[in-house]
Amino acid sequence: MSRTLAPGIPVRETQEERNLNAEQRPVTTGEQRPAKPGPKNRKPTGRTPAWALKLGSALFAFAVFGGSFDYASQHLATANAPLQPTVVAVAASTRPTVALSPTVSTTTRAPVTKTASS
Amino acid sequence: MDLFLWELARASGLGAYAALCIATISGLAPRTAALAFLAQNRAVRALHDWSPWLIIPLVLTHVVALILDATARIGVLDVFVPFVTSYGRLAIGLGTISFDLLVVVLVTTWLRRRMSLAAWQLFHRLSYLGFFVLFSHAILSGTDLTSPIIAALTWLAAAVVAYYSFERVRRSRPMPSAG
Repeated sequence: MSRTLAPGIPVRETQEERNLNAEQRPVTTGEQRPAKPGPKNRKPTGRTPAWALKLGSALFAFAVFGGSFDYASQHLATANAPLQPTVVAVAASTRPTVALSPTVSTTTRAPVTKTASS
Repeated sequence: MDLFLWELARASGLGAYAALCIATISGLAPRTAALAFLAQNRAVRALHDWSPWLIIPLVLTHVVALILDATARIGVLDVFVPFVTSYGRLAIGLGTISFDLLVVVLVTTWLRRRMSLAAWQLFHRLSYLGFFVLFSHAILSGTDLTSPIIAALTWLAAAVVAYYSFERVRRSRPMPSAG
């Protein structure tokens, strides 16, 4: 029950009107009331402080960096890497080849060493 | 020296990707409760605000190492202008675009008080596009993604970011009015 001075401008209820309205209000029992979102109904949230989140994320990022550095140093050249700069292909094609051959040649001369026995 | 720079570029690239995942997820978390199991929104927001200090050194290390590495043949111009490299134009160009978008997002964040909220939000939402472009760059050019474990972790992180991005969009939709 609200009075208006002009259309759209509500006027505050008097105490008498408030009491009357309270009497007319339907009485609700505890069963009918909707459950309030209390601590039992809320999902528990973590309590990690901001500094711990920052420290944890910094450690995580640098662990990824360190782990990747270690992996990269163990796998320097990856044959199936998606990007292959052309300089690698040029270097591979112009690499000088070394022909391996035996360095000791055979001879028909008699051996100059002898094994002495006593 | 070139070998060290090459290892540094690869490692800092993956480290920067991890840092950007942290920044993106912590940015999405207050609306999606992605990190509610870990901390309250105020702490998550503090992490998000602090994350540039993690991203900038790793991204700069990645970029500078590639410029100095003679084998990679990346010039200073390639860092800012996409698709001008002599090889891997798409793969490297996507990295250039993600770097440019990151610069735009960071600069507009620091200028936030001088901008309207709507303008800042528009620029900040470029970070979704930036992350997608960065992920594409990682997939198309990442030497270490030939390792199944690293590839699986990279895809998993991208899937988490994608899931919470969709969740963020879904939750921002206006609720249908009752009756």
